[in-house]
Amino acid sequence: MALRPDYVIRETATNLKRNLTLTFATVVTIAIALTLVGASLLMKQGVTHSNVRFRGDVQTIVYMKSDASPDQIDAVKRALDASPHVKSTRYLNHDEANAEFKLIFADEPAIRDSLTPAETPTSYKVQVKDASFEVVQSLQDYFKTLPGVHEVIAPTDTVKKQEDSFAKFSNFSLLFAAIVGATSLVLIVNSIRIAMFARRREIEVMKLVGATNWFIRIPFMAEGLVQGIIGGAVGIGIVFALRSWLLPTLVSGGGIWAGFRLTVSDVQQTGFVLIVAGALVGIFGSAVAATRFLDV
Amino acid sequence: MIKLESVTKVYKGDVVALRDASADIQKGEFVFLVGPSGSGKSTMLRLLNKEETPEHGKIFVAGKDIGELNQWKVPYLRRNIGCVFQDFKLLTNKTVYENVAFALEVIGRPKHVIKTQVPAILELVGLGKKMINYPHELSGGEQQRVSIARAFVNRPLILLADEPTGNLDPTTSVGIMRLLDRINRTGTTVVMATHDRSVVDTMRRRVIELDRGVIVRDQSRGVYE
Repeated sequence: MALRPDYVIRETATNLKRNLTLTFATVVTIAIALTLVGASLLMKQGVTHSNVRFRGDVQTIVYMKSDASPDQIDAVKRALDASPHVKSTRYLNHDEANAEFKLIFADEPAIRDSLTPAETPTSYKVQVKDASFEVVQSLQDYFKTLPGVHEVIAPTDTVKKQEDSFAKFSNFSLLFAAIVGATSLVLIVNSIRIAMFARRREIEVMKLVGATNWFIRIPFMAEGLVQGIIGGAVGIGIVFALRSWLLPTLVSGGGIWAGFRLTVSDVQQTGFVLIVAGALVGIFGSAVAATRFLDV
Repeated sequence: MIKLESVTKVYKGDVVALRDASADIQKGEFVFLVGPSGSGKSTMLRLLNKEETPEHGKIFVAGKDIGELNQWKVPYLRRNIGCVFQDFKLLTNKTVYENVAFALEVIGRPKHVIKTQVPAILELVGLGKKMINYPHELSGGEQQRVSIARAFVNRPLILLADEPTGNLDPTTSVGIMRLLDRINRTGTTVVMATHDRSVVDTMRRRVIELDRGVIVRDQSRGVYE
């Protein structure tokens, strides 16, 4: 049957206007649920980024100065091999170091292309036998003093703690988001049912003159879709705001947040997920509401 | 056009609304359903429209057994059946024109068809000059004319009327009956449930009388009695 777009738009707009308070409540609930989903997704991505350098059981990285001489580089290598705590080492030359740098900053072209291979500091990735805090700390203190060494960094306990607390936080917020998400589904169902109840006479007439159930249902589904998409958009707004204002403060405050990074494309991907989730919640909720109403 | 074969309808709590009812209504007939309140007149109309389904028996509309009809096909059945009610069932927030146009809109008729058919049908029922009025600005008789226009605008094969003159004074009722008669003359089968003795006695059409769900009389050119 021909369902004219202008008819659907007109009906949807009328429905949304008629139940403005309920529409508002629904949108806010969806927005909160999706903000939580978005925040926990970004939390996971942020942690992944902050640990990319330490992949493969690398516990310590010795960064050489970019102008370190081959002798200095060899001396560090010998010192590492001589150390009783070191299990193995791997040397990243200029090209390899640059490739890794590009990987870390893949989403930020300005930074990614700022270094040539020659300018990129080379480094030793060190696997430590007994990765206790004290051992790593002592290695760090010792190698920092060697000529040609720029910096020694170790994830030590901080990264471990950071990972644990982020994992807990992100699991908790996912759980919370699921609860709020279910609530917003119920709210959508309720809001559509009220919209349908307000128009039961019209629906009765529609059924009497032979309108199909889909014809009656689609404007209500469009209403749910609009609510879901607006909710998703508000959720994205909040997530973006958190990233731009709250995150820099947290990161600069140090602690477990130091090294926590999010790229623009992370936020964009999460935004896409939020919009799709909002749309699905909206359509599904209103389809359920409409079906239960029409079956009577 | 309409055929009932031993139809029984029982509501919750063993209330028998229709018991073993059989009738055969030909195309173009005008039939009155009479009987006291609760005798099953409205139930019979609701069964024809598939708003209700019978416990036993078969109902044929336009040669089709509507008991066999899939739920999703019911709207297409209803497009062949116009309905008129005692309380008009007009949408108060729409004008006369919009009320009638709505019936065409929801079955997906194109705009240009609506633009030509709605004024024509409103002219036919004598409301050509009240197209932009709202239902509350009309008299009861005029509102019923709008409702008849809405039921007939799609040129259905059958028109079901449930006490269409129930809320109207005798003079206005005569006007409504003239209109229904005119619609009947175009070949539309009309089935009308009524309490209105004078209407039945004046028209002298087929009368089916119900009493506590049982057809007790089926008489051509009958009176109310």
